[in-house]
Amino acid sequence: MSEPLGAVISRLIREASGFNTLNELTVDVYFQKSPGNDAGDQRGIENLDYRLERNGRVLQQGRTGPDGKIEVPVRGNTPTVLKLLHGSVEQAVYEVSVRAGALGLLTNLTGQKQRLRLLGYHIGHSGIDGDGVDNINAMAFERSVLDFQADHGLPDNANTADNNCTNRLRTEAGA
Amino acid sequence: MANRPVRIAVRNNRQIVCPVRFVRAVTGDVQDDAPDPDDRGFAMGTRPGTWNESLARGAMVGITTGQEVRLKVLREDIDDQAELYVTSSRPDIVSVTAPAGGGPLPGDGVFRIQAHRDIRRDELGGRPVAIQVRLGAADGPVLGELEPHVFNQRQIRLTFHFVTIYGTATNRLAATAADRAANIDPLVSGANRIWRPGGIWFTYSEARVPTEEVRRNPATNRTEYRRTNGTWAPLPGPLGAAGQFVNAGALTSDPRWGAAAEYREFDTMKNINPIANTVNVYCVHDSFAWSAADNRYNNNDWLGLSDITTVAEAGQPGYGLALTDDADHYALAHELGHYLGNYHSDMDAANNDVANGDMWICRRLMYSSWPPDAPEPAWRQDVGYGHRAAAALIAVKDLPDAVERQDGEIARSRPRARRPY
Repeated sequence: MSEPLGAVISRLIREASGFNTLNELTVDVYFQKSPGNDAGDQRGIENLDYRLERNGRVLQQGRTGPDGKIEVPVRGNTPTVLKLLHGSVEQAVYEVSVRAGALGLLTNLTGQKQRLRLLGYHIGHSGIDGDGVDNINAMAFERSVLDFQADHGLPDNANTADNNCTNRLRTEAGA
Repeated sequence: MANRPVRIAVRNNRQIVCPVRFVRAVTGDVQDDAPDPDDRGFAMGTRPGTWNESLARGAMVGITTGQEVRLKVLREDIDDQAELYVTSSRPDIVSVTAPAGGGPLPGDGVFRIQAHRDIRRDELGGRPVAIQVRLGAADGPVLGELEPHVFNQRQIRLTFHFVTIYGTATNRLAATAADRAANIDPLVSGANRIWRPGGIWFTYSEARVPTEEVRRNPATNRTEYRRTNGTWAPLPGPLGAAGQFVNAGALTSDPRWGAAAEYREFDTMKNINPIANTVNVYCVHDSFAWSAADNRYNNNDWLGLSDITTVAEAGQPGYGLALTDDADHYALAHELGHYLGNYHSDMDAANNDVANGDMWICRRLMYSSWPPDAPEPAWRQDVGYGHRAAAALIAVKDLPDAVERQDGEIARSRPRARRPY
């Protein structure tokens, strides 16, 4: 349901290292009323008006469908600014960037937090990216683990993500 | 609260964002109009048939019919400048009373809702009411949902007995009826603040606060209690005529007496002048328990004792509770929770209390607080009610047993409250 407003693509000379490659990824950001993969239970936030901008230029605008999904193009280290609107009034601002590479190991806190964050669980805003992903055990992490375990009917095991939990995290968020 | 902009570092090319959640409007001691929403997970759990299935996924909160309460929207993943509004899917049943028009919400995220009536199972197309947080306007997109559950009030009468054993009285005993009532009021009003989300309300009569006395007859050296007509009689069972209390002013338990008799002093106390058609609360000075490790009785072993009673036991005598002088309104509310059929929130499959299992357990009214050491990690020592303070969450949700074996207290307690004596 998005409406592309144009993107600049330049062709490099043949000898250039980035010849005929486009250093732009499109990532899927889902706005949901509750965390976790949608199980056909209307978690998506529908009718969110949004606008995507980079370096002050408008890339795209649109309105979310029932799944709450927004496809966000992200180029290199430059974050894409995602603005939620009501009418034409800017309501909320997100700065979307991409972290390349595999998710961290499920046996450590960082890997567990990455997956909980990916699934939308509320782990706070600590860490260098401000998204709660670090290796510090704290109340927000324990709560999010308990939330995840409760949502999946797993035995609760407090702040220690046990095998039941880590296996399910792998299933839900990726290896 | 999230600052602007909210930073999203996407991994695996995918990211889910849930902007808000619902929390208690205050911190510290329980307040009448600020219930603790049950936000344990976003799934709604197993529900009694009369509650119907909800389309919402999020927190639940109980409200007594007619009550107005405060709740708070926490901006987990939406910035603090976003204008948020709160609406109800059925304002005739639960309405938003503040802010006017539903928003924008003030900076603290607090809003008020009022419950107008309980609903029948066949109403609303079988769907409960949803309180919805919206972006930008009262008709904006829905960012998050909470299910309020309205309960008609059920009253339970209490009778407080002030007990003296071998000359040592409860500190709650006072010379005048007014002073005795003043010693009870904080307990009852506090318990009512805690149980109000379940639609349960406790009353007692200031004019009827019996004083009970247990003595050793100097002529026979037998232990006796004073009957309501002023005469003395042998102790009722299970201690019986040949029995005695171990410690002055206290109820004592001892595992060496056997599993069935460990609490025989408590079981005897409940048979001393109980008042029919009330829950009898016996206030004693202290509690003792035998410690094998110390090879002696240790005092201040518990703050309260209660039977765990069921609907099937309504109408049978011999059920009640006991409180020591150190018990506060949390302790009374906790023991009443047992009386209403609930076990400890931290009881495991072997019926043992586990060690401060997690922050949810520490936040529940029915947490055993055992062992008494400070819970670790440190954040479990303050789950919103103050440092090492008792907490008061009464579970609305009944999560799968694998997750929590002993939750769903409101659904369990309501039928018992209908036939409480």
